[in-house]
Amino acid sequence: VSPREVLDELRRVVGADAVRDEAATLEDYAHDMTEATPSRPDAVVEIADLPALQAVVRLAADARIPLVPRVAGTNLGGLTIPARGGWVLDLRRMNRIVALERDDRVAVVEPGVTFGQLSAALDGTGLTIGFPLSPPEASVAANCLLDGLGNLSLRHGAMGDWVNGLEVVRADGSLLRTGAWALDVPIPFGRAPLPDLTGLFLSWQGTTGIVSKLAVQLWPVQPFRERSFVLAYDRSATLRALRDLPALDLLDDLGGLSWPTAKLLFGVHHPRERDPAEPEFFFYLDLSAATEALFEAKRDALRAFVADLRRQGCRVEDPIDVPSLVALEPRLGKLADFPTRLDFLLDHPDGGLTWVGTYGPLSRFEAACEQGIAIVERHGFPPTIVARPMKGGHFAVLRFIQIFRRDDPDDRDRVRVCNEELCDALRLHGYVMYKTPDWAVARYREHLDPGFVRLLNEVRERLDPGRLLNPGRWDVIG
Amino acid sequence: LSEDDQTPTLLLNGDGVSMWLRASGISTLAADGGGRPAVRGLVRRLLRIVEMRSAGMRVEVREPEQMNLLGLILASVLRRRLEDERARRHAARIAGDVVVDAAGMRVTLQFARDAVEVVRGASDGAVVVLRGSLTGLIDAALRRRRLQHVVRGELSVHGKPRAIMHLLGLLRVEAHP
Repeated sequence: VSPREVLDELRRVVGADAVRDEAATLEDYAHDMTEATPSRPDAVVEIADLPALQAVVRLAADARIPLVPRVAGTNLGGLTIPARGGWVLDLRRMNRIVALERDDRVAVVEPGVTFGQLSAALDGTGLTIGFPLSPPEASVAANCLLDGLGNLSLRHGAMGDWVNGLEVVRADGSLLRTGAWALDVPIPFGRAPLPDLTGLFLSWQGTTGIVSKLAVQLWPVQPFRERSFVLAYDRSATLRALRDLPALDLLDDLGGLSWPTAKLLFGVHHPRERDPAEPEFFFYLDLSAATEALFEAKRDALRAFVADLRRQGCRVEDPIDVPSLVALEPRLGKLADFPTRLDFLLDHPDGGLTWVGTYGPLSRFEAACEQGIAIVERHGFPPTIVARPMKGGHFAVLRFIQIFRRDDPDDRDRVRVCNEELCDALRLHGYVMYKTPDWAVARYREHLDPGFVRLLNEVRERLDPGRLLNPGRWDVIG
Repeated sequence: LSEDDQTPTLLLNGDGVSMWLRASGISTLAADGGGRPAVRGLVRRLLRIVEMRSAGMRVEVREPEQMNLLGLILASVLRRRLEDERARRHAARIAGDVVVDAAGMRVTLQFARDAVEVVRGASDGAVVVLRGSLTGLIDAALRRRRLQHVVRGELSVHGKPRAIMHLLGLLRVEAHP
């Protein structure tokens, strides 16, 4: 069967309008914001529902055509670039919120459901979901499946932990369900107590199956809540806050952002130099409570913590609330209302955005941070850092963000080398990249436990023997 | 000269000084600044007020890529404040440099006829020096806890009283919950 005949068959299956293979479209799907090498798909297929998805997967399996699932494509790991060509499955039209179970605090969503859409649907329900620093059009399912994080991750961990169960289209087009959902219970209330197969699809980047429904945990919205910011003139104050505040169990979220982030927010495209007298970090603190008394008690405890930081010699300002900050600079409101679009990063005139985003142990945070700063500065980048404790302080996020000139091959090389050095250095401190790009997987390869590699390949061989599902991702063939 | 007059026409006669001024859209701006120094000063100030009120003011950050956070905050506040006629009137009456020092972060606001330039560092001979913690300065702009910050030594201001008054009038913002 010729490629043209397969495409004709594809058009017959999903409708001619749903298949696009004109050059401009293929080019749009060939790259993302990162330095990853562009690679064109052979076609882009807009999938509207589960039967269409299954039919396309069966057709691709028969014709041995690679498939790359994609929603917004806003990840910073090149994860939806079709490295081996084939068809990109654009899942944005699969965007039904299938169920919203208030009492059980769970939503069942299709992969095209966005954070903006779910946020609107949850408005007035007394429930919320954690929001990443991704644009509103980012996919809820994708962020969960890639184990990203959100603004409730200090309390509840990375979003992979919030997945109660999945409906997955396997490489042969068949369906399966995971979690308690596998027993056809009315509510997908959790992954336990059946054997947990959900992990076969978390952080696998679509290489083991294509998720068609995802049950995700929701969280109550408290009536009393506040986000405030603390400016810290030295790193140590931020590090102490990241390390010590989670143990006090006061906050829903806590994040540290370094000085270049603040300047980008103010519209400075290329922050070059830090005034030694200016704050090195600012950290934001999300606090909420069910009663006013509890809220005030938490605020008092927070003020006491800041005062204690000062007594220990840390230079920090008092917490500043969001209305005050927004009065000074309306653009700072972007850090207050979720979901948010950080246009100072996404729409930067240089056009290139990449990161080394890692999870690792809080105890090694300071050393990892110091070394990372030295690396990025050596390569001529400002240290644009996002840091967060996760899951009550069980681990931390350490993320170095680089803006670069995407059209400039030299700059792409510069950022590539910088990221590779960061990746290697942070690994030695125990910090591992999440949403792991293939270049990082290649660097991790020789350090991975052989048993892990063997089982990973066995699982993949079993679930996708033709290696057609997002090929090029997690390729660690032993 | 009426404070609220958008297109003032002014004639001053006295001690050899005459000034005729029409400032509608800065179409014509003419002055004879001869005569006694005090009168020349008055003419200059009036010119400045009329120019700022009629043409607006630019806010420029010198070397923004190296500007500190304080300078960026001040530039942002000034840009929005100077859209307001009353704030422009305050700015017009600040003649000279203003130094703001927040916990060692120093910025000079150079008030010129049609622009305020925000420069990193402190210039000598400022007409006003505003010093404090960043929180203290923010609270001052929001007009809250000023006395508390002054008493605790987190906020101080020195300089010419009228310039101070106009500076505080200029650097005020509203927080909307």
